[in-house]
Amino acid sequence: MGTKITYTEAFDELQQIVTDLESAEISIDELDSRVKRASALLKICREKLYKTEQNVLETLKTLETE
Amino acid sequence: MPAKQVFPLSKLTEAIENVINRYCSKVVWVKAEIVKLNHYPHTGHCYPDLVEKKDGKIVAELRGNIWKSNFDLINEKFRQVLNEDLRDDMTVVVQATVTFHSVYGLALNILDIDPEYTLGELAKQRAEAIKKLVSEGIFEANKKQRLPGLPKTIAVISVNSSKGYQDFLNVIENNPWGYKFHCKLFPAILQGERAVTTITAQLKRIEKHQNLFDAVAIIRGGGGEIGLSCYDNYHLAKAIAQFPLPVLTGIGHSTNETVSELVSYKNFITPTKIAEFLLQEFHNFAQPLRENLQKIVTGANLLFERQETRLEKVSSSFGFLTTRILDREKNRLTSCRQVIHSGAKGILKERNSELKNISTSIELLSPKNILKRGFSITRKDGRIITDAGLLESGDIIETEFYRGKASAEIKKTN
Repeated sequence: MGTKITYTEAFDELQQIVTDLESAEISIDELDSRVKRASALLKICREKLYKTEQNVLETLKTLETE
Repeated sequence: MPAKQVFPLSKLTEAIENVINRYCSKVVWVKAEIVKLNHYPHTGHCYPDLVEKKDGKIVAELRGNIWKSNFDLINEKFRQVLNEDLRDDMTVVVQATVTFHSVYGLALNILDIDPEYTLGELAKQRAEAIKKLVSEGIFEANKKQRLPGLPKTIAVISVNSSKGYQDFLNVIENNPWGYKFHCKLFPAILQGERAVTTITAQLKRIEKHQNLFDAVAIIRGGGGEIGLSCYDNYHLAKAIAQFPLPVLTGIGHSTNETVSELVSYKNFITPTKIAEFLLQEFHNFAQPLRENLQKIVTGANLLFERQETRLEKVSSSFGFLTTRILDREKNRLTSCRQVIHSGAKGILKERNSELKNISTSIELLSPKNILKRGFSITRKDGRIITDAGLLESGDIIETEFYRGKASAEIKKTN
């Protein structure tokens, strides 16, 4: 899995999987790979979100001390 | 032919003297104009040229004598009543006798002069000068001149020794605001009979260089109040009224304003007041500049403050908004995770139950279950028979039941 994927791309793909799952359009053959993909995407999003949050909080802290 | 009688000149003049002294020794009041006073300061005597004019033409002329003792008394009266010395071009009513001297000839010996008449005469001249200037439409002319916003080059008509001039320079040159003026002195006599000619001559000089100057100041002061009626002179007042630059007068006296002062651009009680006026003009120019400078500084500060406040607002809402975005994303991810979880499970469950249904159906359809319900299978030679037409009498068939099998022979077919 490339680390080059952006949060937005990852989230959009995740959203698609969610939509497919909700409408039950995923066959059993795909289910395993799709859920695995979804889990990987979730992980990427969470990590990116966490990193961003840390950075932003840091920057906000320097803003307040200025 | 009788012999000629020849007299020496002195005999004749003696005779004339006798006649005149006998018939003309009466003291009389005479009205005349002093064309020239001819005062000799070292002896103190005066020999005024007296005339009577009609339509500008001399119709009578006589020399006068005023001996020192009389002149001193007369002049003192004039100073008290008119604020003027006895001078040229005055119309006077004199008390005199006619005298004749063998050497000096005919003369009017002046004993006294009535200052009240001359005072009235001067007032009349003043009123006439005003009337004439008004009727010529030039009385207000100088007041309509434009004084530049910064009147900095001033042509000064005064005398170096005048206290008023020194006061003026003092105030203007030592002003604490550092305003720079350029004053050029045009020396003139500022009182008495020669004032009119010298001042008008200097005005003419200044007029030639009018482009160099912003205004003219006529300055006098500290010289007492004698001899100021020259400023009522029509010609001087006209020269001032028609001057192409604003004329400021600071003649310094306590009596009525003279005609020259009335027609000037602006009149001041003292030369110091002229200086203060000029400084005030500079102030008037500088004040809005100072105010605008202050406005710029205040305006700039206000802009800075406004921007700072905006930035502060933005930065304070920043934390809140960022956290909100982060929280939203977190929630979205959580709900995604939940959907994936339940979705995947749901699909599995669905397929599972599908399979279960299918296996149930399959089970229900199995032959064993059918046989159990009482159906049996008929075979002939191992093959399933579903059509009785295929059988003939004597055929051996095998029947399979839920439990066990049995063989039978066909006896009859329908």
